[in-house]
Amino acid sequence: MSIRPRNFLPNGDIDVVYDELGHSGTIPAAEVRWTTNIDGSENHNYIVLQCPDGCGASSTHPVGGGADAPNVQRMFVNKTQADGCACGQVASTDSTTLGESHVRLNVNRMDGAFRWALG
Amino acid sequence: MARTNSVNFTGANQFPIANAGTDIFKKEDVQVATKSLDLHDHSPGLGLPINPAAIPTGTITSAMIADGTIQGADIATGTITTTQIADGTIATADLANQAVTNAKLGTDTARLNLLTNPGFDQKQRSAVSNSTSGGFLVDGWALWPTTSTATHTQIGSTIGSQGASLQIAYTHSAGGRADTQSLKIMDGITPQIRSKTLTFTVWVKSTVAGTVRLYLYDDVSSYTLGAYNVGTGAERLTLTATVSASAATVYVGMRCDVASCTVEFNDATLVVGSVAADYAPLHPADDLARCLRYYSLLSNNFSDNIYASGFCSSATQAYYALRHPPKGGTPTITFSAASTFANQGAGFQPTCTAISADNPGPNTFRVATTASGLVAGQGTLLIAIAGGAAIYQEWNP
Repeated sequence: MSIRPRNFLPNGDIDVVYDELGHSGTIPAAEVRWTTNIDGSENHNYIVLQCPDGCGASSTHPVGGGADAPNVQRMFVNKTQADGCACGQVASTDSTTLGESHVRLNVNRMDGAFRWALG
Repeated sequence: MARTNSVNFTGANQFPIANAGTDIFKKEDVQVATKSLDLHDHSPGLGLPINPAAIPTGTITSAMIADGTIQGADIATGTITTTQIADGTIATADLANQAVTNAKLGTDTARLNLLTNPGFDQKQRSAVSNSTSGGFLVDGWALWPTTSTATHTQIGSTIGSQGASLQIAYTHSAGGRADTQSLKIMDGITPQIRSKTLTFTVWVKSTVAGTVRLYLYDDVSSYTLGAYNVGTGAERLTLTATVSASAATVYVGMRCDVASCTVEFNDATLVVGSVAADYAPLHPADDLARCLRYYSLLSNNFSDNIYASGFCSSATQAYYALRHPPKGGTPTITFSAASTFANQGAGFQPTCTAISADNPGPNTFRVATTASGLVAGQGTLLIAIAGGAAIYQEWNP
């Protein structure tokens, strides 16, 4: 699979695994980043993860979930709740339900309503 | 009393019968009676009809019945069995239209297999084994160990069809298990199989009897589990279950949860209906096409292969457009190390220091690279410059 989240730590860090090469490790919360558009703005539909093993590999995950819908969507929800959304519609001080609702809306827009995997 | 005539012998064969002692006796009475007796055959005028009770049971044979005279009404309902019908003589016209049901099908009737990579032959990933939870080795079958540990490897088939099989090496811990699980069945349109009866079969060969069984999972009824393997030879496990009317998620799989063992899996089928279907291999193109819906890759099997064309937006940034086989949704895009790629232009070829996907969709994505020495406004090619350069696209339902 990809460099994918496997466990979410209380401080926002993420344990990840990179099956393709058998790498694993922890990515600090500060290094869980939105991707950047061609105009330099951040895109709330994608998060890029660098392999913590240092091999240089990276995965760009879509809000729809991509390779691992439950864990990727959880990653987006956690980041939106903690940092606010890149689009500015949700702030880190907003209620947690607002962040989740915003991510769910983006999931529906990207992959359709059937795709939501967080119950 | 007066003399009377016989009633069952009539015409020329009728004879008088003296009823009283005073009746005169004529020798002609005896003559006619004996002549009639000599002609007696139970036909009209020659005696009483035969009473059925007078015929011993089991004595009438087909020689006594004229050919072509037995009527359908002469045969009791529901009494003709297969032994009365010669093999191979039932014609299609003898069957009512739309009357053959699924339950009447033999297992060798090829039917639509709902699984992805049912023969375990497709393996796009380069790894030789996988032990991580939720990880894939062969396409379409994920490993889900819980408490216990397990490893998937692809091996040459020793059971079922020739080619490859998937093998799991399972190390049991108390209360643990390891599932080898399909992708979500009918991803995105699971409602199409709601309320349907499905039959799942897999050829298995375990090193230990009673250690592996099949399951069907839906998110309403949870797990329906089949029977364990009975021996250590090749055997086909079968499970039939009905999907819940409101299920949103359906999977099938093979579970080890009793004792440590090594199990080979091959030739899985999942069909609608209560009758199992023998494995019928897909054409390799169709087999791979199903897998590409979930996983595809570009890899430098040959040096200096060109991945994409693009342009330099600055002295340090370049963008490229790429297409990939359509996925069920927007995939995760994974790159090998940035240093395995370079930006090739007229008079420059700097190695990438960063590479990422930008704005991927179900069919396309943009690649953004960072490197020094680019020339703003010039065209450029994204190329592989080191072994292991690869771009993976993955979407799992």
